[in-house]
Amino acid sequence: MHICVLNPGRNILYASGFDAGPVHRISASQSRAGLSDVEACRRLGTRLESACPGVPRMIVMRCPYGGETFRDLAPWGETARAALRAASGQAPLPVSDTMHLAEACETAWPGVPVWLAFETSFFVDLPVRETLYGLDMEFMREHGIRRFGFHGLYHEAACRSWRHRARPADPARARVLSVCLEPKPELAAVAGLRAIMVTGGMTPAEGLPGECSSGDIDPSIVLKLTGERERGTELIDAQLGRESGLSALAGRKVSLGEVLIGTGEDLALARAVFRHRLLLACGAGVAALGGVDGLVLSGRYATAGNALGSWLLGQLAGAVPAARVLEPVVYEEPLDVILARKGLLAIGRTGNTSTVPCCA
Amino acid sequence: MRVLVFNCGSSSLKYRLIRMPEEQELAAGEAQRVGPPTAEPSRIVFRAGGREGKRQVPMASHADALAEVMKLLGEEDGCVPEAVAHRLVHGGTRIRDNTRVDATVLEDLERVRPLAPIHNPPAVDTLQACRRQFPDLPQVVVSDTAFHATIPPEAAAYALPRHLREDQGFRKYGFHGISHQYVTTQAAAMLGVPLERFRAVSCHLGSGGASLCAVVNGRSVDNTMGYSPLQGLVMSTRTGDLDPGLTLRLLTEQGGDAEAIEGYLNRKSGVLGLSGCSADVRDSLKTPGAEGDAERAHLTTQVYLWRLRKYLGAYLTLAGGAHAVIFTDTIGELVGEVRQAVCTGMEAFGIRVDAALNAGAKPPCDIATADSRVRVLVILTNEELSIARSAFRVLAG
Repeated sequence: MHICVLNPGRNILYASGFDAGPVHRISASQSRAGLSDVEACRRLGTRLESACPGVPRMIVMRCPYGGETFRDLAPWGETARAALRAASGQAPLPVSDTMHLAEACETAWPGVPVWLAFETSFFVDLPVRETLYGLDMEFMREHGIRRFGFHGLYHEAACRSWRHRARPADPARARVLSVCLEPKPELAAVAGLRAIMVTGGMTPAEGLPGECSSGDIDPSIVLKLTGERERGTELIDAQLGRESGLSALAGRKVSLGEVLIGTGEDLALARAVFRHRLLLACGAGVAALGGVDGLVLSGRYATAGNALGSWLLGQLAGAVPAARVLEPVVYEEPLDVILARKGLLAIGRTGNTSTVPCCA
Repeated sequence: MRVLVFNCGSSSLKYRLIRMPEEQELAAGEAQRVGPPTAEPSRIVFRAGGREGKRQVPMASHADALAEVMKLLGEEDGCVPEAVAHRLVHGGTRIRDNTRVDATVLEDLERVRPLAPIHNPPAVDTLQACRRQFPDLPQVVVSDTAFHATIPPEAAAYALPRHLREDQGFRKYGFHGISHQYVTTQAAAMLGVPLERFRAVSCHLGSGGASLCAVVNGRSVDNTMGYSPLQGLVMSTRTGDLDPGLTLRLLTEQGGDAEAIEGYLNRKSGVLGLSGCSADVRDSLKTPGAEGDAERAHLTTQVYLWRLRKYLGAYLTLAGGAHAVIFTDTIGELVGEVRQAVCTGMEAFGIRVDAALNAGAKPPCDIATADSRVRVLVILTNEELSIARSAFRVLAG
């Protein structure tokens, strides 16, 4: 039996094959440029066959956005399709991509159940006060405007891992700062396994500065960029989302990992800005939680965050004495393993791979 | 030295004449309805020498208002100013310090006019008129951004390309600096901590704008407002922090009309937008009535307080071992429920508020419990006095 995990990027489709365990067997990637999603999936399937012969028992697909409907892994089908259509107004591009890719999987792997794992599921139950902006409340409700986070899969897995290792006396009330070190990094403040606060926003544009994304910025600047410079919103979106961030501060393309561990002078401002913003987010998170019991780091740059975690706790201890005794926990499992685990759990819960509606 | 402080609004000119260093008020007032004719005539409301009064007099410009104020002061014994201090809301990077006005500063003032299009132009106009009418009177410009000139690069920099940061000046400036500086100084004195060692979070919570300031060793190291006063907390009509993607979405829906969206985010959002009826959070705090109204009012206060709490935690972390949290300006001074709500559940930061002290607070006072590691102070802001102090320091050398 094997599980195929799909992780779509903007231009590349990543896939991994796992045996029950999950035991990783193979990873592959396929450019989407110039190919239909069906063809991209088929080519990936061919590559995966070398280590995972036969048809996968299930496909687990990472989806960036599911809105308020999807609280857990959900089987692709009519119910999910209808729910995604309803959510598409808030995030048209990612939702559309999810639907097309899910349909492509149906075609490329006929009869194989496709399960959708949403990054936003972990944040469906954010407290209302955290989800709202300082805008007209009726307007926000009408247009489905609310805050989400976008690394829920990492945060949930990391917090579970922290609980397993730290063995808190009362896991349901344990207060954890979860830092996901991905190209668009994110901090979540988690009580038990409920996210209380997150740096992400209605879109991934909000929050910590990323490798190429600005993160938080004065709204006036966005307006000035369009107004005075007469640039359309798409160009501004590209400028803030792909030409800014830590790379802009460093003056060259950089990864978050390089910023965290590099020593070059050109990285100094990027490192300082990132640390500053993350420290503020930690302080905000402790205020949101009313205290802190742990700090866990995850994401592809988690191991680069070892020193970062110690630094954060050291700084935090100046204001929050309880942080002095904490040790950062690094959760190293990659995203495809997390997805495979979720898939196996779903099989274990249901006994089969095609049923159990998980939509709210 | 008799220092005359001017604080310009778009159609008003507030003034206070203060004897320094004694800090004794000699006269004060406000020229109202300055500019084009309105339904009521322009007038000066004043107090001086123990008396109060109103004088109706045409004032078509701030230059006219200045002349009338000076004439009024000249009629009182001992009220002729020896120096003038002008409040400037936004000094940008050109006017980073409080400074005596000379030809170079005048050029810089012209360049910073557009940075605060409602507040800066009348202040600059008044200053220029003062130079023309009273060329021998020393003048000092004191800006709300000067106190934040010490914000370090990692806090001031947005993660934007260099040409936007440096050529376009897109960086964090911070605001309410005059108030933050004043209450910080007062708080350090109250607690007997030398200013150069004092650490605090100053919470300037006005009925209009609001901002928090992290203070380390008596200096500003961050402020919740940013490039403009729009960033940061949820305010009376300003949204505060907003997802850049959401700002772009609003723009797209308005056909790219940046001015319309700026107006919406600055004047129709915040507590007003959330509540749907009032820009004053006090009204939401006490709304009774039908379920729908009460629920919306409750959510309004929750969002307002939550943003405040998160920033308080963030800045306490930055300040690292704060001596105090300071509440000031209208909401900070008068609304105990806000202070209580924001400080409750902050024991991890060493903050405990005494509910009785808070409820009966008469500033300046300390409303923290005896065992609270961090003191919680309520201090009345006094921006005119702060401006006079800054001006006196500049002129006294």
